Amino acid sequence: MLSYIIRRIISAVPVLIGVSIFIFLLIHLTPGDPVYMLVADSADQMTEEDIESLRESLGLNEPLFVQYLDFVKGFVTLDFGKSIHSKVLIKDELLPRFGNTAQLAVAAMIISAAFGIIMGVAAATKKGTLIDSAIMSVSMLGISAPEFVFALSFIIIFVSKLSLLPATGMAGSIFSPEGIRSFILPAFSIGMAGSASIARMTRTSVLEVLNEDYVRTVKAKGVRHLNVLFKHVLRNASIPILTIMGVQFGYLLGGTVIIETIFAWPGIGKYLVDAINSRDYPIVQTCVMFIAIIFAVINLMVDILYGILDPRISYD
Amino acid sequence: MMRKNSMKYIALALVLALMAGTAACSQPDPAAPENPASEAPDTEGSTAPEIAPEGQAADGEYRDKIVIQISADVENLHPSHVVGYLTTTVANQLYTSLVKYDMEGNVVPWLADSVELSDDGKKYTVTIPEDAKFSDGSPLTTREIKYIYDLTMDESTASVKRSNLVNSIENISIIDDRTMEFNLFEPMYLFPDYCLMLHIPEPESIEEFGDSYNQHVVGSGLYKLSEWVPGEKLVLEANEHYHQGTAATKYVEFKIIPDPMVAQIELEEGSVDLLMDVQQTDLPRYEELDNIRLIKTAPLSNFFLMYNMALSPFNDVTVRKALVHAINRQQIADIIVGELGTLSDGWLPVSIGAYMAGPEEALKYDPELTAAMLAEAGYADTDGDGFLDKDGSRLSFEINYRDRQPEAQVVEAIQNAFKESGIDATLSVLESAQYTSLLREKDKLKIYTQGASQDYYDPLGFIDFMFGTGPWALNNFDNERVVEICNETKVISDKSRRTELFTEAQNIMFEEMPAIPLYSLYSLAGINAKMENFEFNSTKALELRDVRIRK
Repeated sequence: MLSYIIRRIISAVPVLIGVSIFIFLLIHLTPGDPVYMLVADSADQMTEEDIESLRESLGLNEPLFVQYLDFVKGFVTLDFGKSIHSKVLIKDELLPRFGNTAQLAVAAMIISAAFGIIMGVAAATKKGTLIDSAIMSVSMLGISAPEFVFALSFIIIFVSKLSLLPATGMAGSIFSPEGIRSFILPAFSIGMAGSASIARMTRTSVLEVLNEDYVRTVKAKGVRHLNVLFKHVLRNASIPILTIMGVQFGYLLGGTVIIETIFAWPGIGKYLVDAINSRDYPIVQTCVMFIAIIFAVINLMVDILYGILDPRISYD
Repeated sequence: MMRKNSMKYIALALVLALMAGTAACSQPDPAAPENPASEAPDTEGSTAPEIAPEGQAADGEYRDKIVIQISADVENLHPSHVVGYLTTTVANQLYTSLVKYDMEGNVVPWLADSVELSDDGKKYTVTIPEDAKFSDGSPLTTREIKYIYDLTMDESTASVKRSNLVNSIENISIIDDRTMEFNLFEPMYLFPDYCLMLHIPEPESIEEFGDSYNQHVVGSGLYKLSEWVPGEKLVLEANEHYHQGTAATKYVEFKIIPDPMVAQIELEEGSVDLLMDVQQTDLPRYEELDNIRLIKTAPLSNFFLMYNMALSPFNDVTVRKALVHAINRQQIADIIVGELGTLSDGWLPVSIGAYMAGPEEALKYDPELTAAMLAEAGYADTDGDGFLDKDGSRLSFEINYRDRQPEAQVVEAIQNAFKESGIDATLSVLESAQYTSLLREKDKLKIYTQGASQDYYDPLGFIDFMFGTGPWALNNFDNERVVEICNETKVISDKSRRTELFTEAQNIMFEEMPAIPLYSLYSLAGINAKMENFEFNSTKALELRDVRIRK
């Protein structure tokens, strides 16, 4: 197993190098000049010479490969540099924001998984009934409706009408009593949309397994229905469910810009989008690399979980 | 069995590592000030009688926190890097500068006791109070003031404020702890506006905390920084050493709410007291609800459709003038801009002293006149396709704009108006960074929308920035006389002469028509109806010293 993990880590290196080159070139070749964006916010009388001098002091006049090597060297040594726009150290902003996004992602995934798996199993076991149709219709609605529809609906109901929950901000960690209230609306907004696709995948997988011979054998031996379902069926149906959850979790850890904007959540998604808008190269490059690494780690974790859930899968 | 267990343990370890990492990432900076929010009652909390100004109620009638919505995070509170309206608004609470604008837009001493200009206009002598202090109680002398000027002028600081300082200040002399002189290369009328409003930080904090100074800001403003949670909020606490008296309300929270609809709900719910981001669709709510109030002041902004005068067909003054008459500007202002603003009839907003409305014949809506003038310029519909052409080329161009309201709707109305006059205009929306870069190239955008706003009332900013020598004068207008006037008004201080020169510049511009004035936007704020002593002017500057909110 350990050798498998090491092999996977080594194989991720060329992928990450590719991502770093791609994002570096993409952001530098996209029209828009970070220095002009910086100057645009200033009311000062700057001549072209002043602007060039500013560009030089920010190191943006260096050849592209020099800038790329500086970026890679900084990233590898965990010195992410400073924002061009705000001059604030990127690590001081990125790590707390990633923590906030990750907490929200975990909360949303728990909601997604709980609702999605229960709905999917219920729909599969009641295939062809009204319950199945109702669950599938609701999940279709969940897949079709953008997250912001849930978000705005929740705000209107729980903030504007009932005054039960805060609309914006992160009042603390998810583990604190005051913090958990601020998680409810954004986590459910993301979770409800995510649960729909998990429900549909769960239904399909469970239905496939339910038709297997061994399930009929287990039932014939008189094993209780719930035991059959959760011990024998769901476990064997879990590989595709886990795959979709892994992808969703990776996506959530990259930040959800719309939810972060609506709920004023201090996460990584809005941080990245704002940086793209102002062409803040160091932030964009660092965030994208960070997200790429997170995706690689999540994929590795999912693969390891495959082996735990299905003993036939071996990595040795 | 062993293999299965080890896999479980590895998976568990990875999950725990991720969770631990997550929690660690979101731990507050141990060096950051303690969160006062836990001590401070929330919006319905009690008052702080010990800090209430003399003569004011301090017996629990007022709340001890004001919550102000801002649409984005503050960027950097280091005075050399404070740019943009939001960051400046927060910095204005944390720092003082030598001078500031009063509510009427006049430059008045702030930290300075006096600011005197020499007869030759090249030396400003500034004196500060003897007992001036930073918020941590340490003394504030002229040495601390010179420190931030030197730091900002240092090229390695990479400050966007450097240019104004190094281009105008020859040297800064300290006479004593209270007196200093700014010696200029040449007289500069707007020197106080451009250079004496630099915020003054405590040098030791900047030196000690370096790159993490943002979490350790020490200034001499009305408030001091208590907590900054990036992306979420800034909490400020009253500075007991503020030289003009302590704030009436102990805490101010700047709460970041990017979505305007959510911000409006929060204002209505009472979890926000001041909203800076008022939307047109929400204006009726202020009529319907008793707990919120709308403050509206005269515009200090102007929006134009700019012609690139180096590119055909806009190098022809007849075409430029003809297009003005094709647009029903009044209708656009009434229907699209609506309550957010008003029709702009000139190069300056009406709140600026030298404002003059354009002659009616230059700006009136008259499509027949457009047709006649374009015919005079050689355009006719020779192929019967409904569009005018000249020498085999259709009169067509792309209108470039940014996707923001009401700009996006306004350009659609203009496109339709042009079509009715036989002009083939297409629309091209540009992302902000792309727009800025293309504009800077000066030969890429033929016709584009552009807005101008500023935080002071002198006409020079509007005319010079957009049409003279300024950084946004990018449409190749390059009128020699207007440039001369801009350069002259940078130096002279005689008000009647300045007005005379600005009037001349505006008349030239109505003759040359380098742009079409479209609309001006009001400065709007939505406030809690229980808020008292709130002053708000066209610059949207916040004067919070006496502001308080009844429970």
